[in-house]
Amino acid sequence: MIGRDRSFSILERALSELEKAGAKAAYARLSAGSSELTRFANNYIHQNVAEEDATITVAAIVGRKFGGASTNRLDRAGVGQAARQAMAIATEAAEDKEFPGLASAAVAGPAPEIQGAYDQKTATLSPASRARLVSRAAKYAISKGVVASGKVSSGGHELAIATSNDVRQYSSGSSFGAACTAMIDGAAGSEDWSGSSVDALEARLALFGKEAVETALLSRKPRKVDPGEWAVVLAPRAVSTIVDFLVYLGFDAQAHLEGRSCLAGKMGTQVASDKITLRDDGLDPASVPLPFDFEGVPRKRLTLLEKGVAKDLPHNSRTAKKMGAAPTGHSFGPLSSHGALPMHVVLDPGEATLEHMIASTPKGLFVNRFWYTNVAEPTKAVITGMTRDGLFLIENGRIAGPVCNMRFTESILEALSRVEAVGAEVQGVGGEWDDGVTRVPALKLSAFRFTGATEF
Amino acid sequence: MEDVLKSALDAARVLGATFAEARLVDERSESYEVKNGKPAAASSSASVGLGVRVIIDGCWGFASVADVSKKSQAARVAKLAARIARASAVVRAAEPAKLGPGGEPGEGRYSTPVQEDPFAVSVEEKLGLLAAAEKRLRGPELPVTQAFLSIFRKRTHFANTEGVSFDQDIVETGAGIAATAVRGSDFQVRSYPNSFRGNFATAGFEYVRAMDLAGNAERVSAEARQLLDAPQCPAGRRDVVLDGGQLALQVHESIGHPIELDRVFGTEAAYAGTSFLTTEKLGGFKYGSEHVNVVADATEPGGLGTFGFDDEGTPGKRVDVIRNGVFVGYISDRESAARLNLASSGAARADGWGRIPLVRMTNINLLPGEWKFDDLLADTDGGLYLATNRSWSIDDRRLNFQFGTEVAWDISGGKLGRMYKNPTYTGITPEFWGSCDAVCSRDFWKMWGTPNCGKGQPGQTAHVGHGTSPARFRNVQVGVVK
Repeated sequence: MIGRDRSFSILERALSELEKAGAKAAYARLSAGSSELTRFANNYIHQNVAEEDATITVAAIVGRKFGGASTNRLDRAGVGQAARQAMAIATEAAEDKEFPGLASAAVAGPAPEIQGAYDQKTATLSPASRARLVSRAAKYAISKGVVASGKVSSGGHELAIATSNDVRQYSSGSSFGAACTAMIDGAAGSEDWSGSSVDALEARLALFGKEAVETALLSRKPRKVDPGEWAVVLAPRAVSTIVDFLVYLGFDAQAHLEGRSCLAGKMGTQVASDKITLRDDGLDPASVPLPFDFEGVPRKRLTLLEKGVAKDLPHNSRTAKKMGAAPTGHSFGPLSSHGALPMHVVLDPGEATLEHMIASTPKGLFVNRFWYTNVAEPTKAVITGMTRDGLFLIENGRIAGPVCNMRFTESILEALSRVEAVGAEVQGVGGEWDDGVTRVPALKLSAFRFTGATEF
Repeated sequence: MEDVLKSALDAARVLGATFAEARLVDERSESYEVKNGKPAAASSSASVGLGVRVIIDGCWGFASVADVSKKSQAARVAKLAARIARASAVVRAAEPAKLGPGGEPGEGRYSTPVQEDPFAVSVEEKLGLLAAAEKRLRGPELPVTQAFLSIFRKRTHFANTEGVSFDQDIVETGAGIAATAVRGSDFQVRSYPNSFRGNFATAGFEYVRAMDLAGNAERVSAEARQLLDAPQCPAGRRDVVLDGGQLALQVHESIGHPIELDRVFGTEAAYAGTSFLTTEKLGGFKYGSEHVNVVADATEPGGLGTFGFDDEGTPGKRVDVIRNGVFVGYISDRESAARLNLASSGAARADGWGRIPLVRMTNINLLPGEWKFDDLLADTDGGLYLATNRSWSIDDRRLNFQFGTEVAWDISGGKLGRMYKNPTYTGITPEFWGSCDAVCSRDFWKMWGTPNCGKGQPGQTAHVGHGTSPARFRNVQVGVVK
């Protein structure tokens, strides 16, 4: 840990170097962390790594011209070099008449402290502790004749921001993740648990590996079914893919301004089932919270969809100015060419149990997870991807057996207009590419479009 | 530098390592974007650090740190790597980690041949070049016009306990333009020379100058606008010709990843997935038609996978992957190759100082055939020409894929005819490559850079290359099955 005081000391030095280089306004951000990850495959640990890094990012601003630079050399020479490089870019850059400037201290006031965001035990979890968790999954897999793979990761991170507008923000946090994929006879199952505290997941981790192994065992000898429209029960991991892509395609204010968003012109209208309420809560300690954005603006809680109606858009200073709104604390930084995106998405739970969703389905498919999903037609929110790690036929309200994996090509908005039930239990899920935590329940949809199949 | 590496290796030996390697990596990059007449992004970054990997008691450990200003840091990192390796022994393999042959003991040196150092070109000139190209993209119904430029330098100092060491200086340069046309709820993008920020090579700034971004801008904009009026690409079975850029990603996803030997052995099972290309297929599996010849070639000039040494110290080399349609070789690192009693293919690559080497693509190249492009079009009446990747998706064993491209044209009378929007095609890997019956010649062959190949946990991004020329595939499912 660098700590609050030393972080600000480094940032003050950066602001001073930027001023010395000729910047009229200055921004400095310190991102630091240590992360460790134990990876296993074939029931043993095959990769086991640790990394410590700290990077300072600076921006030099002269009027409406700006330039940025970053370095992980935090000594005076390293920071000074980055400041001069940022200034050299700012000097040569064309003027950006729409540059909103740095957030003011009034807009970027003190962010709240989030109790539980930083858990010392999680941030400093030992390699031996992670190995013991791996051992739990591997032993269970071996006892069932199954091959287990996965990871256990832990770490701590710090983010500090200082600007010449007197904005000062600091936060620290911890993160933990455990995932297991089990395979036998070509069949697979998996599980994934993520959050900011290892202890908060204790009950799950006591059985680490069991769900993946049981799913793999049930997935053996899959039958082929025809692609087409199927009723589906989506486990939380599958739901997280749909929600993540909806957020990406629909809730970027910059994309709204450019007409690229699937929700452009649809804000305030019904775009999904009234059973769907989607929020963004960067202050929730159950996710991996971050109380302010990369401009230093405190995060606001947003309601993205309220009973299916598109409601709030996240904003950075630039999109807020252009759309007559206020920054919401979702910026990637004053110089980022990206818009603003929700990063802590929560889908409100309903009342249904997974058992009820399956029991109420005469014929359909249970999907554990989607994989390698990508955008097919962005303005229609059409995405395509594969199922993975557990696809089951539901007949007469019961799981009737495993099915060969299938490709889906479907509009998220159309799929979310066909919600029949929402699960009562919310699960924190790491993204397809380990990119954050999305908290979602299971969903039952009356129809979902599958467009291809595999042999396994 | 040598002192730091030596300190790390000495400490590792004292701690009981039977093998250790240390990499001190110094990376620098600059990235520029001009969007709608304004500088949307202009920044530079620098990152320096040390990574140490050890085998103790037959188990791996790795640790890394950014701060290498003090020599004592090297010993501290080695100590943490040793502690981690001992933890790995809690859940150990039946057999200790074993490494096959890699580099020969000695000191190696490699630098990317560069005519014009991209870091020496002024910021003013870089931004001016982009601004000139972006200005020519602008027009009605084009709310987003962009020009991109990225340069990257990676200096690696490597040493291991077997006496192998090298210094390597890799320079990469890339650029591109893109126009986004919007009307109502439709938006369409055209790019040059490739989508997702352009094309990239191990080369100097001469590579960007030769692109003629400004000279291609008006065509790119015109095509983006034409796509708004174009009909949806009809679904059905069609003969297709893929342009080199799309074919590069087809090679990447359906050949480059399945031939990674670590995936085959299951070490990526929980994340990137496994591979259908199990070891009994080596030497006999019919991967494609006799027109399909593929190599993994780290020696091909200009590729993003071109280097002198991989991150285990194995010299860059060219290995056959598919010969006349038959699968003949994996890409591997020392550990995975040893399981087949083979030497490493020289494909162990790490994303910077804080990551371990994994089996990664070098330049996975589809070798040229004999066809002239015009002759191929003339011979493909009723087919479709698909150009420039827009989306990609493939299952976790690399069999069922679906790609989207920015544009398609009917092939009619030896020429490109009607334009279609939102084209997609789908298939199963060996069937698709089995349907390849024509590959264009060396005159139409070029290297494509993919700077965003993801793999591993924690995540790693590799810069890899693909040499391709346009090729024809028969009876392909175009569009989504209803």
